[in-house]
Amino acid sequence: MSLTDPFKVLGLSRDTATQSDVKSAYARLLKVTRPEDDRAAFMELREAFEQARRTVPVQLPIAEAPAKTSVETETGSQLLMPVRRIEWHYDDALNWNFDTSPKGKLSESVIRWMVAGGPDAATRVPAFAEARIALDKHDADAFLDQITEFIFAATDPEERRHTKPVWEPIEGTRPAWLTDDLIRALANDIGLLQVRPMNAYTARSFNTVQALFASVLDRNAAAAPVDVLEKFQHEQNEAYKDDHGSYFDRHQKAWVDLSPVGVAMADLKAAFDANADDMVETCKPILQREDIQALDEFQNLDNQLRFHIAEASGGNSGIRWPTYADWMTPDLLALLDDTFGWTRHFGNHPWERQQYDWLHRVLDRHGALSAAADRERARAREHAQAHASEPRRDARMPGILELFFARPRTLMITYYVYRVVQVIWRLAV
Amino acid sequence: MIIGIDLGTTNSLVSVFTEQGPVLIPNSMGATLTPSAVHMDGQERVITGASAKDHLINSPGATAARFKRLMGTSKTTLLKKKAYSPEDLSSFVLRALKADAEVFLGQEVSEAVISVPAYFNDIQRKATITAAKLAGLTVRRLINEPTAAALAYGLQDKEAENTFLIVDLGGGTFDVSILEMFSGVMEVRASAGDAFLGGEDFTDRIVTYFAKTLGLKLSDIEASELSRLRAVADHAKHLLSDEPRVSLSYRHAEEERILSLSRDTFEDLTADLVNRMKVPLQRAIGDAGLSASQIDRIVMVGGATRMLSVRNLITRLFKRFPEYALDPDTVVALGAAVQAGLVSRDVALDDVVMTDVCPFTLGFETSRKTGADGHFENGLFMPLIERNTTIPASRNQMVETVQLGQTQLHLNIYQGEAPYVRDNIRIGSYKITLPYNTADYEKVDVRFTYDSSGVLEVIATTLATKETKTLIIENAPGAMSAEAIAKRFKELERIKIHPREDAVNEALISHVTAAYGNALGRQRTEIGMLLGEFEEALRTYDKRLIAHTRSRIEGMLKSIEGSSVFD
Ligand SMILES: Nc1ncnc2c1ncn2[C@@H]1O[C@H](COP(=O)(O)OP(=O)(O)OP(=O)(O)O)[C@@H](O)[C@H]1O
Ligand SMILES: [Mg+2]
Repeated sequence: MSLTDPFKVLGLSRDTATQSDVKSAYARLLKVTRPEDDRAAFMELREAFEQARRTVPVQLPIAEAPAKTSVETETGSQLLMPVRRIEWHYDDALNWNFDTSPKGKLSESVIRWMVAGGPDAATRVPAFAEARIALDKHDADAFLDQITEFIFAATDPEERRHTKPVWEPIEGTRPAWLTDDLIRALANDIGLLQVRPMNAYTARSFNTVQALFASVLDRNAAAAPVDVLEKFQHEQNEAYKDDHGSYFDRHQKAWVDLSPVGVAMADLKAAFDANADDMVETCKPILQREDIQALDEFQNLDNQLRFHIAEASGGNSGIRWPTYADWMTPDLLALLDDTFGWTRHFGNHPWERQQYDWLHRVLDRHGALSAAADRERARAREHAQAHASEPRRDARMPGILELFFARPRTLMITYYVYRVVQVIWRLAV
Repeated sequence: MIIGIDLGTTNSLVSVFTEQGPVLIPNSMGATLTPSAVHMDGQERVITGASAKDHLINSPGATAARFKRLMGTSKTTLLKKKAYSPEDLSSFVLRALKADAEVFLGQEVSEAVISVPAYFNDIQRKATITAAKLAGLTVRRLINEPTAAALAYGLQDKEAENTFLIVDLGGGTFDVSILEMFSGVMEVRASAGDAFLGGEDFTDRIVTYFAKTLGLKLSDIEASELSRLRAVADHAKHLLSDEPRVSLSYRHAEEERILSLSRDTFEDLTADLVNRMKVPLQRAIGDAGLSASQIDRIVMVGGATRMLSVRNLITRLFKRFPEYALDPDTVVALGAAVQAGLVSRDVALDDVVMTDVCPFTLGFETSRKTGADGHFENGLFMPLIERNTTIPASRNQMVETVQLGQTQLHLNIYQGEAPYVRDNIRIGSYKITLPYNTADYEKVDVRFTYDSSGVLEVIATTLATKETKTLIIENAPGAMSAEAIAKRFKELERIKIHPREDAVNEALISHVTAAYGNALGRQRTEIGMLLGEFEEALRTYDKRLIAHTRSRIEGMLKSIEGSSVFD
């Protein structure tokens, strides 16, 4: 492995290079560094290419909008657009991530000011309000969201927000630093809670913070909470809608997947859960449905089933040995293995290898794995027979004993030679 | 001049890169496809190609075909009671192709680019190189068949940005490759395949089915009968690509039998074969990190992709129709010529570079300490070059002895994806001698280098002595030493090749003889008379008369045969 900077090898700048720069630089260099001419040089170029391709984000780096002024190079012919990256830093004490964008910096100063109890309100609050107005509309809203988010996190020290579904409201406990005065300043002067939340997650924070503020600010007391579930439903439908009419069911609070794979998966799960005598017979036609045979669908179903089996056998909970569900019968596992060839796969990525490893343990419960291995071996045997090997001409010399005893002819010849020699000897003597 | 060769299971082709681009070279019969069959005639002369294919029926004991499937095994074939290795047989075909190229180019040819199935393993690749040496050819480069096909396609539009899927189902092997093209670079992203799946397996199924309808057991049918039945089955298979059902006549025990087969039955007989194609397709797509919808072009290569069930499978899996812009029989040979042009640095190809991958993981066997009590678990597979790494590639790994004072290290090289070597394929083993050392565990640096032809080289460096050794695979099946190759070359050189000028006549005789074998009654007598007439003409050595008789017989034969086995 070379220690040289891959970007240097490609003649690019690490900060500005894009995927297509990397590709075309590689293409250009490859034509003068052909693998058949100089193997070592090619391997170095290749290594650089692969590393650079991994490091460069597929889209443009997350960056602030390029500075409005453009810088001229010495020749003056080319315009350069400096790209500024945002850096993130994590504050242990506050358990919060700050960033270096203008709005991030403003959020950081407001947050630090809040947790300090809001000192010097008379001078600082107007300054904050002004800074907020200086941001563009999108950033200003995002800034308010960040502040709401922070307060929400502070009211939820048990971190229920990570385990509770988004549509379940969380009742906040007011942190000590959140004084009445602070609340008034935030709401009235800085403009907190005045912009409707952007998405379902910020909506939940919004509701919690609004409920907290309501006791202090009478004017907000009557304000209705945002319908988080509706927002969530809307978002899900927007993000995952397909040609099959899949949708988020508000009452079940679950995604109803009406795509062929989703339907097949639901039917399979139902068959598993029913675990009737004819489970295998029920599952077979489901797996053979015409509309899930295309590669993408088939792989999708494969992934979902692997996940489901791993989940149902405790594979995602950190235990060492699978706990078997009743429906994991030998026949069913054999059917699934025949369909997807699981026993013959070992995965590509580390996490995939882990999943397959687990799956193999589940499959091995009834020797399904060994049965598959047997099938494989039988196939290999078939091949071996078809190409049965005869000893090679130049394989090896037969041992001297073999020469004598394995072949009657040699034995006979030797005997006659012996007799002839004997006769000649007698005659001579 | 470097020639390109597609050494196929059923058909072989030779080609060359010219100013007009890649060009196929015709054989002595004027055809570009030379059947990969070898026949030893009455005067111990070798006949290859179409005529040899007909001799499969006339004298199966002196004829061999489909030997590419045996490459890399030690199975020998008897021709006239003499044993020939698959390398020997392939070398005969290569010799004929070389002669065709020399006539076409008017100069001697000694170097070639030969295409091999992407999924050929190291042993099979080395066997191919050996076969070329036995034919007096130096292999400048082996190229994977689907990659060659992609080269031929890619050359049509060098600057296009495309992701290709190449599906190659030939007579004996199935290969899938995914390529990305950008700015003149053709980069293979992933390859997968099945080295034992091809059109011939489909024919086998029909043979078994026909034997059953005739009420015969496959093992009871004698060799020439079986060859004839196979020819009928193959013909039926080809017809089924265009027609929903076929009926063909077959002579069995001096009576004519009609063998029929419908497409539906054929598809039932071969459903599992078609299903087996799914696995490599899925793996290639997964390895390339793509989904089926991200593939821009799907290209079909190999004669067996003409089968409807194969086309349907691809259409179903990818939800669109595959392309056939170039002839699936010849596109690999065209690509091999392009690669030959690349190797010889043809200026027309200055802006094209192609990189390939190794299709399987290579590694070696290791042990792992299982506890403090000095127990070891053996048979673990240590991958060194992961599958679908761009080649040439080189990786190294330090290993150490498990015992103090150990003076030998056995390095067993495997190919495969399973975590235990018992589930992988062993491709060779090496012995490394170490200095006697009771104080320390000896360390050895093992380096695998995979060259552009997909051939493996292993170098071991003993750390203590800094001694570096390039290891030669010792007991791989089919591996021959340089001396053994030179010796065999001399032996094979003595075997005469049937004169090239004679090939057309020889082919007609074997064709007529084969037709005679399958005919009955009056037709049979007629064909017999044609044969006698032609042999009569040959005895006169009158070129004009021979040519005249030949064309007359060809015409008559066509009318006699009608829709018979021979096309
Ligand atoms: N029209 C057709 N319908 C069905 N099968 C066909 C048709 N034409 C050719 N084949 C089959 O295609 C196979 C030969 O294809 P091809 O010449 O591409 O293989 P090859 O290059 O000799 O083999 P390989 O690439 O596997 O070494 C044979 O099995 C033949 O029967
Ligand atoms: Mg081929």
